[in-house]
Amino acid sequence: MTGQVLRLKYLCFLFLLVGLSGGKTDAQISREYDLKAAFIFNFSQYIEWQNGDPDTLYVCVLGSSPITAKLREIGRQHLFHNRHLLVREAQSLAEIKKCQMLFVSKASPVPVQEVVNAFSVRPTVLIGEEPGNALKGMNINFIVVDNKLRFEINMKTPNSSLIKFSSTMLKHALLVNN
Amino acid sequence: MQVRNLSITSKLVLIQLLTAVLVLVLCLIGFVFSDVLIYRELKLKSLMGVANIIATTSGSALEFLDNEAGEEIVNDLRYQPDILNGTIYSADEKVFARYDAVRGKTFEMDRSRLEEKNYYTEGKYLIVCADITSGERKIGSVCLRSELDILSELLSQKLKISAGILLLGAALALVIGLMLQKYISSPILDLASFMKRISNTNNYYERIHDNYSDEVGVLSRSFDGMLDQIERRDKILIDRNALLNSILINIGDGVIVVDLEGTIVMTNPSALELLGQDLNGLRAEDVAKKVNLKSITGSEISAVDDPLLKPLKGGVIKDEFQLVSGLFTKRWLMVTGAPLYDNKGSIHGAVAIFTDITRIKSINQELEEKISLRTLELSEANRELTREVEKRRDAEKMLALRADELQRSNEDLQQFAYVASHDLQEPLRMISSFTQLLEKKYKNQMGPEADEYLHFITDGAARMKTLIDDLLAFSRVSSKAKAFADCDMEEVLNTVLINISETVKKSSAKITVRNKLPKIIADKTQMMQVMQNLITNGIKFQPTDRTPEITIDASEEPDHWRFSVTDNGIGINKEFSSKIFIIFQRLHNQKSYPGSGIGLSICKKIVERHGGKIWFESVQGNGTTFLFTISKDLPKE
Repeated sequence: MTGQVLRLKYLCFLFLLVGLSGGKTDAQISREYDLKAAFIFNFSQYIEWQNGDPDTLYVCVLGSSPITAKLREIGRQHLFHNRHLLVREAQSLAEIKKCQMLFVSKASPVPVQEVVNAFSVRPTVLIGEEPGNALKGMNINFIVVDNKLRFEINMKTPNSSLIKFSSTMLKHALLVNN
Repeated sequence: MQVRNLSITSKLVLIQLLTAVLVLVLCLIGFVFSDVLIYRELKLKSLMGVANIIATTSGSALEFLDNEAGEEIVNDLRYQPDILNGTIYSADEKVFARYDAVRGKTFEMDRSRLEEKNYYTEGKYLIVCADITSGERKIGSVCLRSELDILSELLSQKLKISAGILLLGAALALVIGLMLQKYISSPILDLASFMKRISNTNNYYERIHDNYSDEVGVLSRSFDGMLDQIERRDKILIDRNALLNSILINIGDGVIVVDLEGTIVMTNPSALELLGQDLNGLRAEDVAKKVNLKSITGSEISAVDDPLLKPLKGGVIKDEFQLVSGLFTKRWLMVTGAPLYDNKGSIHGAVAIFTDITRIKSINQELEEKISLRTLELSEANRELTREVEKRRDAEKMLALRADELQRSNEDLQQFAYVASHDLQEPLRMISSFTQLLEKKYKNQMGPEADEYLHFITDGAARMKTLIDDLLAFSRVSSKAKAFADCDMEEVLNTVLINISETVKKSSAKITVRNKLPKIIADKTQMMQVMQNLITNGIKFQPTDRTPEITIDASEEPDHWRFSVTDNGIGINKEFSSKIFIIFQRLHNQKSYPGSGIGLSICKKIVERHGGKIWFESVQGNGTTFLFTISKDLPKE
């Protein structure tokens, strides 16, 4: 388990060295999603859901993305706080039922705003990977700053009252719409 | 200077001082060491605490790869001046964030030294590390390096204080030691000086009289006890010495003592008197020549036989010597020489004792002369005696020959008597029977004279027959004798009384047995003959008007039995005492008292055969006592 995490970190650094701008090789893309998957797994430890801590953490991916496979790999390897991580990939909102976290991929067939609206009263953390998604009402959004992967948090989303981020997590985040 | 040679005072003070210093040094080392350990422990704990806080706070920074946040956290270490470096490492041990108290002075941890423990020291630096975890996962680590300069400062400070305490303690120990040592050392020193004084003056009558109960007191009392023993032993030795001296002075024998080197060291007055010279200080080998001591044969004494030299080589000598003191004067000496041994058994001298035996010698010589004279006389007497003995032996031989002849003649006589009486019976019987036939057929036919002759013949034949019968009976005492056997004399008397009952009855005789008759060894038949003869004699030889009273008695003598038969008869005149036991001798005529006169002869012969004697005691007209003895020593067959 530790070895896997180490490998993830190593990849992360390589990825950062190569840089996120410009054309990306398959390897670079794969490393980027390794990092994002690890961040999502780490997020789960700093978030409290209004309806209590779930026994099983469901992470849904909207649209086809390499992150699905990466998350499943983490889910197979890690059992965090006795909580299983299960990954569901969906192509439409209708397929999404119970999810504590929803990663809206670049390839999402559903527009961001629609997703935000759909989950405005549901305790589901919406995670995006396109610039500006946080301001659009998503809870967390991955961005690259100085060739490093960072994340934005929007504390004033429609569903923000249903989700609570720990101060430790907030310390490392770029807060938008604050 | 050796410690052993130091005075007790110095030793005691030294012991006190060394003990105090040693204890203080050990205590101070213990305290300083424990302080250093405690300081290090506290330092380690506090540094570990800081590392743990950083590890906890920097976990999320690592998780979200937030280097700035990490740097910010480690930079807070600037408020801890003793921490020189702080580094956060990612899981792959790459530096994630770093803090250096002095810019540019970075430090790389030696990860290999952190495998067993999460801290180590390097010179004056302490390095600690703490794992950064997320849940149960290790996601990195934080290591801090701190200076231990304060420790060496602390150490030097403590050592200075310790040295001060040590000096003070040693000084105090010295002062106390000097004050207290006199309580231990002075009694010992007193005892030592007392012992030295006793040893120098030999005055064993002094005592210490220490009544303290400590070890020195015990030592003093033991020493007093030893002095008591020495005093007692001295007294015994002095007394014994005086006794021995007195014996030596008064003893009649000369005593000379020689030391191991052969010098005469002691002589007693008797030696001076006996040898005529004071020999003290002389050499032992010169003594014999000086006093003119010679061997028993008169020759010079060799060193091997010298009574003073031989014992020095372990030999013992006891021999006679002569002391020549003039041309014709010599004295005889018995000299005994023996080695003197010490209590380890080694020879340390010799003693010689000179005894004057001149007088004994001369007495012996006189005695020897007397003995040889006496021996001569004795051998002469002996030769005389031998001659006498030979004469006696010849006489005895002659006597035996005579006895043999006598026995032969006696036997011949007996044989003759027997044969004669036996062979005479036949012609006598013929004479008697034909005389009776003649008398029967021709009595009153041949005239009264012839009848008278016939009567004389018949009467003579009858008397001759009696004589022959008696003679036969007499000779039968020897020839028909029976063997000696157990014989109850009571039984013998009873049989006799039955045999003569008619006679007893006719004479109204009174027969008394005074004592019970014994059981003896004898020829029973012959005993009956003797008893019957004596009793019937007693009854027979009585005055006509007297009733016979016969008393029979017996008594035991050492080697024979004695029997007596007493009557109240006519008695026997003493002048016939030799006659009455002779065969056919009669004291009275046939008419007064009939009989052949053979009875007492038979009795005599029987008694003599039984190793006894027969005799009588009598008062004329007033009874007779016949006595006879029977030997107790008869061979039983």
